[in-house]
Amino acid sequence: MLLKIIYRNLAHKPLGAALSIALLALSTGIISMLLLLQTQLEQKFERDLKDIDLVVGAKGSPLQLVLSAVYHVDAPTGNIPMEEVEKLRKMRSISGITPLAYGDSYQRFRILGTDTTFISRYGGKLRSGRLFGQPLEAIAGATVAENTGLQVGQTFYSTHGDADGGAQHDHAGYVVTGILERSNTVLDNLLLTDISSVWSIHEESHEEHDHDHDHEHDTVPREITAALVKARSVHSAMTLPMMINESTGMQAASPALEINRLMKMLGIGVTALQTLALGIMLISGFSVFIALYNRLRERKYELALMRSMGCSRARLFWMLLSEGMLLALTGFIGGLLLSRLGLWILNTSAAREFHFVFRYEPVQAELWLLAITVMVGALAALVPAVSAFRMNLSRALADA
Amino acid sequence: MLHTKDLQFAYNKDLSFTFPELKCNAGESLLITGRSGCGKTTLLHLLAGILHPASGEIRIGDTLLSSLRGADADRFRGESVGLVYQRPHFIASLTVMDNLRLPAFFGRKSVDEGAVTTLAEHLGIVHTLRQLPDRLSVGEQQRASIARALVNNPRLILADEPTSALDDDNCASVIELLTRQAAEHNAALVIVTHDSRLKSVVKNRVELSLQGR
Repeated sequence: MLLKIIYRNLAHKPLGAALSIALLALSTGIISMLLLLQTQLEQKFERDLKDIDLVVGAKGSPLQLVLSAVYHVDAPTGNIPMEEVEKLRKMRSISGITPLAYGDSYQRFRILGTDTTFISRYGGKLRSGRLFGQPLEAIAGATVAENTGLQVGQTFYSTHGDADGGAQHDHAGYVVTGILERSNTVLDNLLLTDISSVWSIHEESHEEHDHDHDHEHDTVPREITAALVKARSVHSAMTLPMMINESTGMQAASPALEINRLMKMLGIGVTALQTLALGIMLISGFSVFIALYNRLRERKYELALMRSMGCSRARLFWMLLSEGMLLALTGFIGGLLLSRLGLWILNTSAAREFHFVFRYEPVQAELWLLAITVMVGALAALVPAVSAFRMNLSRALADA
Repeated sequence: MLHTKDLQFAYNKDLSFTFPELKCNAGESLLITGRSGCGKTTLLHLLAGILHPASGEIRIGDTLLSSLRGADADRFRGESVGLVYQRPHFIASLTVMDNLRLPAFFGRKSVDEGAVTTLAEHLGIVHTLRQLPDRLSVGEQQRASIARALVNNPRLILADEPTSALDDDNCASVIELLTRQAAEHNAALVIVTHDSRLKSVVKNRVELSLQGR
């Protein structure tokens, strides 16, 4: 019954309540979306980092190198000679190296030449078929298989570069030998093959299309894009970059450091948005206050009536407080829906580019958001509730 | 049922009231008249436990109302006192039916919808139960507020100028309803009014005199 009174009262004059709810939903929506993005991106970055201590690649932006070689989102910085990488392999301070060679793509999914250490690094398991063995055999990640419909035994032709309209290498196709299970890592979005396959495709293509690939002509053979390095110890992980940067033509970047830097840069934007959202939340709290306070003046006699029917001061106080909290709760639920809608839009529009699908399940920080929102509602209702508590019943009844 | 003794109330040093002894048995009616400013509403609020007397006793049944404070007085009022006002007021957002269920809710009694409907039938407002209060005519509203005062089977019904906003026809039917329903519910009925039309209807009468300033 109390809920009914509260609800009916709010629904009776819906405009004031609607503004409060809309503002609350907007602020909690922004905050909740930021929370979801932040937690999920951090999780994703962590997961894909696995135990890559260093990324070695061509000189250029270290962040770009990390983004392209670890997260497969940016363009590669350039190529490095395979023999240089082989030299690294002999060093005592390095315990593992996974070479990566980019070249082509298939329906916008990158084809990555590597060896099987890449798959085991991310804990990839075959769902069907077998690993690549012969040249021009490839396995597909779960998302790739889902989106392209590639199946074991099927042949596909790669496209030069990773743009849709690139030239097609239609003389030599890859044969799919296996499909990977979903691992929620970068594996899902890649086509994996042997490094020699990437080289052979380009050798052939250069023989045929020499005239339009002049610039790559002398760099094609025995070059790779980057190498993922596992150091033998924490100490060597810290000394290796300087050694590589100074004594070779390559650069070494620490993914953890670069991602930290990136997060800090993003953090400024996130903080700005959070401040904005908190500002909106403050205004929405104020709007709840105005809505309740205005209604209080209109309803003074109704409240007196309830008191005259035996409703105690304390009960009336709680009732008005609950009104504020119910408004806040409704706004919060609206905010949750808004943030999910935002993620859904992101997912449908940009998931391909980021190679990442955001999940909708709530994060723990949203519990805090709920608590804060409800508190804002209660705080906004406090003044009306107190003045109802202190109402002079006799005068309120006589004034009507 | 109702008995007051040496009842005094003071708003401040300059404005205080001393009230005559009042007695009203269950099932009977008492009319309290007087010019405006002589403390009629103050007396009514004292009898309802809304105001607290400076001194003296108010006894309703076997309860000494004048000794109850705060939430205890609120609870007693919810359980045992029904109030009717000059102009009928309702919770505008609730239907008439829900408004009639409120006294039971606030008085912490169980709601008997059948009894509410029967009562509404007696008062001729059963067709309005699903409507919002402001859709009712003034006469219907006053009858609905009488129904609300009776819902909890109170021992005491207090009516503050229940007829002064009504025309002669409505006045007669409302006062007839009030007295008859109070008698049927075996409640003491106290009507505070300056409406002289009521003097011929209710036998027991106390006239308050202008005083105290």
